[in-house]
Amino acid sequence: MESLLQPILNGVLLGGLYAVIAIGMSTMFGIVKLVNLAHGDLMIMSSYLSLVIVAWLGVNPLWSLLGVVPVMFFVGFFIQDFLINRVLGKEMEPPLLVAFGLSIIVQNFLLLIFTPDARSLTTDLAVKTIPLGEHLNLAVLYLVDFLLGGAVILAVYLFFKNTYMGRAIRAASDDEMGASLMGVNTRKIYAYAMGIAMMTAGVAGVLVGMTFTFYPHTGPQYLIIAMGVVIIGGLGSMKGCLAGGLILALAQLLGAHFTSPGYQLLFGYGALLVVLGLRPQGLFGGKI
Amino acid sequence: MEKKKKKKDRYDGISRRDFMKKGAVAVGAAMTSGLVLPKVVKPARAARRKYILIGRPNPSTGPIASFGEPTPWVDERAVAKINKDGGIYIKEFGKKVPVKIKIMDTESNPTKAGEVASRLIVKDKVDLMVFYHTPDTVNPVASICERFKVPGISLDAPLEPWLEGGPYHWNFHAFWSVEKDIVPVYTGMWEQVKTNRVVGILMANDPDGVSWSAVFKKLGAKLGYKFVDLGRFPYFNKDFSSFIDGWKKQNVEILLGNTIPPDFATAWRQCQRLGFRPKVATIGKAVLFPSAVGALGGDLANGLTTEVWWSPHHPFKSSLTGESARELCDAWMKDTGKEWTQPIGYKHAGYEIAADVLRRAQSIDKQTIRNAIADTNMDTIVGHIRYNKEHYSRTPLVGGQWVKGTKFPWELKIVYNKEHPNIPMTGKIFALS
Repeated sequence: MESLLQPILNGVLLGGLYAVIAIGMSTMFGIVKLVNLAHGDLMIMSSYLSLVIVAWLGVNPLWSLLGVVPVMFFVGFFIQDFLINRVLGKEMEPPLLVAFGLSIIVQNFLLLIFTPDARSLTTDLAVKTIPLGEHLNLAVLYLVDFLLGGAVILAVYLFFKNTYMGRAIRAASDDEMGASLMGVNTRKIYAYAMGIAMMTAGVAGVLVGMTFTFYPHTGPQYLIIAMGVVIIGGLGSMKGCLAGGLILALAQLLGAHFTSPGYQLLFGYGALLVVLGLRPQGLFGGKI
Repeated sequence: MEKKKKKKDRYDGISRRDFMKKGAVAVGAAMTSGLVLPKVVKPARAARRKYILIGRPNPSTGPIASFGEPTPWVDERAVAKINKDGGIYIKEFGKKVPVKIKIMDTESNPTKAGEVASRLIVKDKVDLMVFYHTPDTVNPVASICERFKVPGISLDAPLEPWLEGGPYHWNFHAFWSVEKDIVPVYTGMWEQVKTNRVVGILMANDPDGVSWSAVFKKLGAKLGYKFVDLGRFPYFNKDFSSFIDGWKKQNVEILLGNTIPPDFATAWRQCQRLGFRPKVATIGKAVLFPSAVGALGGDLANGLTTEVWWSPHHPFKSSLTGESARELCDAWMKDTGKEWTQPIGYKHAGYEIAADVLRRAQSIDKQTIRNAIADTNMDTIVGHIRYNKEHYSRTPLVGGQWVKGTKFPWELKIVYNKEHPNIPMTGKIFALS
């Protein structure tokens, strides 16, 4: 029993990080019906942004959030306003292609500027642990990931529930025609939504950069994690996002614990397959 | 990935009429150029082509881009040197002609590498292919060279996976063997540290990981090592706690790895967090590059051991420029401000072999070039090259350890050289804990 606690603890903490990686993608999925294939790459771009700030000011990567998050808002806003809004229409494919193209451009742009070298946001937290028992350790960095991730999800949730802008975004998502009749400029609203999604990606990028190493081409692997979380949790649902992250991470770690570590990812995607089979709209998703 | 592709195929944003219009123009253009160009341009170009063309598939982007990064730098220098006195004498032209190269990006992808190689052969009509860096580049390009009967010189990919693609007629390869070089060097380093001889295996589920773990378990058991193998893991695994737990339970004191750099960074950081400190950690592939070592963060890189196939301390000279290994590294550091990396020497050696072969062949006939490669017997900046019956030449391997450096944050010291005492030791191995 004792030995089971460690994988569960790690799974929960890792799940929080998975959730914050996915939240921006889930928001865009739910609101603009846009599968943002560049989500992972834009997230890695914010890791590099944080790297630049850290190198420039010599501060702890967590402080760089103050710079990264606002910048990412504008990046998201302009991407939506200038690129994706132009091709939004009846078809789903053109925005998808724009996002795909953006993903390739971002990767190669990062490669050009930062070279293919491995990078990481170094912090003292990386190796600190809090011993909770003889066989139980709590990694401080994972705890930071989890807490910050949880805070971001809560903030996004409250924003959509309690502010005018949040309600306008949800209205535009529910009924575009109706919202524009009520005087909501839906195109601008989409741009704001993308801005917010990119703010969460900014936080995720900094956390990922602190926890793992990153390269210009690391984006797609996080896109796949985000996809998994969104599919398990349900499109556009905040609760679903958190649940999806936890389920994906716990399935991986417990699967590895009971069988062999080699099968870790298999169990994660096995859980995804089960959810897809039993409840295709995701655990917290509405009707499709 | 699958999803992306499917969506893309379904794209039908252009109307049918648009498509017909654009299609007609494109077909028309293709036809006219097809009619005019071959008659006027192509024969003229073929007759006037007064140079030797070397094809260079190179991983410039993607996960193994660190290997391919110095390629343009090395290539330009080497080619400038070869062409200094007008190039190389070729019978068919009756005079000296310059060497030209064409670098194409494989995107670190084996499928793409094969495509690029076919294009270089079919479209650009290269006379010779020179390629390096991991089985992901070398194997697909070598098989294309075999198919089109184009001579190929390759370096920098372990022999075992290369041999699996054989037998070869047109390709010649130089690097070390896992069984004959890696195992003695790794175990030789372990012998110098007092341990309980229990080895934990951290290897990815890729050709390298699968073959390395099998070879080590087979040969290591004879040398009295006990292996704790918890299985292969897929790329980009984000949690290694079940591995670490298993190693701790079995009291592992030696960590043996072969992973891509990001996975080792994830695993090694987690080892620290969970309090797993082996006495020796010897890792293939992941800690070859100073940048990947530095990205581990903090002091985590201190004392990691790995294989060293080339360094400024190797006592070899370039047959092309006369530079020593040290001088080549210094030139690189001066021009780029970056620390030397192991592939630089092998990239340079590729041109030494190519130049030597072409000088002896004095021809752009493919069979003549192939025979000239087979007769190669020369000293290069990576050691002596002489191909055996199976078309390969083994290059020397020693062991190294990363320590805090003076000029750069991390420097690689050579701590084991039993098989190749001509390569000097520059440090003494120490235990991690």
